[in-house]
Amino acid sequence: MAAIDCNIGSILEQIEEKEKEALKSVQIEKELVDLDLGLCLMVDNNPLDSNELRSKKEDYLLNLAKTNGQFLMNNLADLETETVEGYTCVKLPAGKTPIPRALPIPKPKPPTKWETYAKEKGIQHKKREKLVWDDVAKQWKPRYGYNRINSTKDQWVVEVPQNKDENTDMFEEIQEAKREKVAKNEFQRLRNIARANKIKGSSLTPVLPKDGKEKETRDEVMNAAAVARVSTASLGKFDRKLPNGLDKIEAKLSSKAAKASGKKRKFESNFDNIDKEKKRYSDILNKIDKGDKIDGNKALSIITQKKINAAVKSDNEKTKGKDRKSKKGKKAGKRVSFHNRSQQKKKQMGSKGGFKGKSKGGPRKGK
Amino acid sequence: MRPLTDEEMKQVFGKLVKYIGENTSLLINRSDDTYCFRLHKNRVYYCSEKLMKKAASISRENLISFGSCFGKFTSSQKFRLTITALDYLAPYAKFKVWLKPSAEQSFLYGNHVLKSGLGRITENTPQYQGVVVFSMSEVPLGFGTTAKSTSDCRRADPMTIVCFHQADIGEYLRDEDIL
Repeated sequence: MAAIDCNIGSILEQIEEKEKEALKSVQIEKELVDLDLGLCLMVDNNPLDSNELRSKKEDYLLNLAKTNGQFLMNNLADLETETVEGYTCVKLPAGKTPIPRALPIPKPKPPTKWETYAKEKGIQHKKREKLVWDDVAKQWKPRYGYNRINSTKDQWVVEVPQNKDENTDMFEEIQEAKREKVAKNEFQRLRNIARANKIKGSSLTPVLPKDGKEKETRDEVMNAAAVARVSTASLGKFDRKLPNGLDKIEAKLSSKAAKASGKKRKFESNFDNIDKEKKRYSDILNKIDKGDKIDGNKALSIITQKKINAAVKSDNEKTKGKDRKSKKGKKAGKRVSFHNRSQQKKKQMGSKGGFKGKSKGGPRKGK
Repeated sequence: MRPLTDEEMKQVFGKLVKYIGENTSLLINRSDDTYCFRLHKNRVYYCSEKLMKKAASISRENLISFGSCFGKFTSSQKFRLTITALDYLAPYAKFKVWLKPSAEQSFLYGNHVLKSGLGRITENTPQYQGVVVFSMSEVPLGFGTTAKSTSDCRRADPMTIVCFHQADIGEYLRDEDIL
């Protein structure tokens, strides 16, 4: 028996030792460690042992991870627990470590037209209680929405105003007014979206001129003009073009009109008859001013010289005419005097022109 | 790649006429081969018909250039001649400006031509006329427009600008990536 006792004692001792060893491997004390139990996160700030890291890297790191993992589990086990459906769960505290957002911060919504107006005027949103006392029904009713106070559904009789035909269906009128309100609201909502996205000239904004409260942009006017252009029976084929000075606007307008009419732009073929293409080139080239510019100064001097010559000639003629006047009758004289007047005018013009010619033509002489 | 529309052609010829006048027609009617203008990625290329047909077999994304580029259409649809057109402008130029050797470098760095750097200028050049700029040894360096007519040049101060810079062969180095 003693032997057995001894055996039992030694076995117990052995078991105790084993348990102690197991406990030893579990009980870990560490310093310089950041714990964030909420996120089950542990950061070991201890420096790595460079000698061991160099000699047996894998073993060392594995061991370190094992002890650190154990340390984290120990700390988690110390927390408050609760049993849910037979499983023991740990109540985690809130995490401490700030984690960057996965997505960017959402952009603030662009303000609607009312919001910008309210901000400008300093109008603040007043919170009103949702339920209102209905004196008639003797109960609390919502201010708006289903079963609201002053609902049109509660009205069983509506007075026809005096200025209206007595046969008008006032219920229908009320419904119509409501529909209009809803439509207006929807239109304003879309307009807000369009404004936020800076969509212009799309189907959301009207093509027609605005009511004068908002100024049309240049683009909007252009769009309206383009649509107007193709809105004829011939889709604008015989429409008058803008005058010559507005070539640029005309080009833009016609391209927009072409778009509005749904025509696709078309180019010449790449492999068209080359002679035809050559002819096209030379036709265009012939239309272009070849760059042989008229020398304005020279032309002016020539013209003024001609005028001076004419004036001198007329002076001579005038003296001749006077001679004739004395010889011929009154009628002829009158005619001559008229003729003279026109000559005098020419003379004046000529003298003016002559001055211009000199001042501008001067530098040319020096050449 | 596509042929130019009439509007675009008008702009291209308008620019060419400014530099080479009626010689522009010589570019169209050439004795050696039939040449044509093609638009590719907003750039205008001048090439023989044969080359054009070969280039047309390459897809638009892969085709970088063919023939010689005359210039490009800006995003506001204006045509601008590039230095690569110089080979065709220089021999046909109606009005020329020759630079003194000392002024060559300044011009090739993209500066305007000053009176002090002006070697010679074609007689009777009007103001704001497109001119091709040469060195004294008849090497074409670029092109520009005159700021002063020939007669005004004579009386100008040495530091006044005589010719506005538009393009020069220095761009082959400076703007290598965008040419």
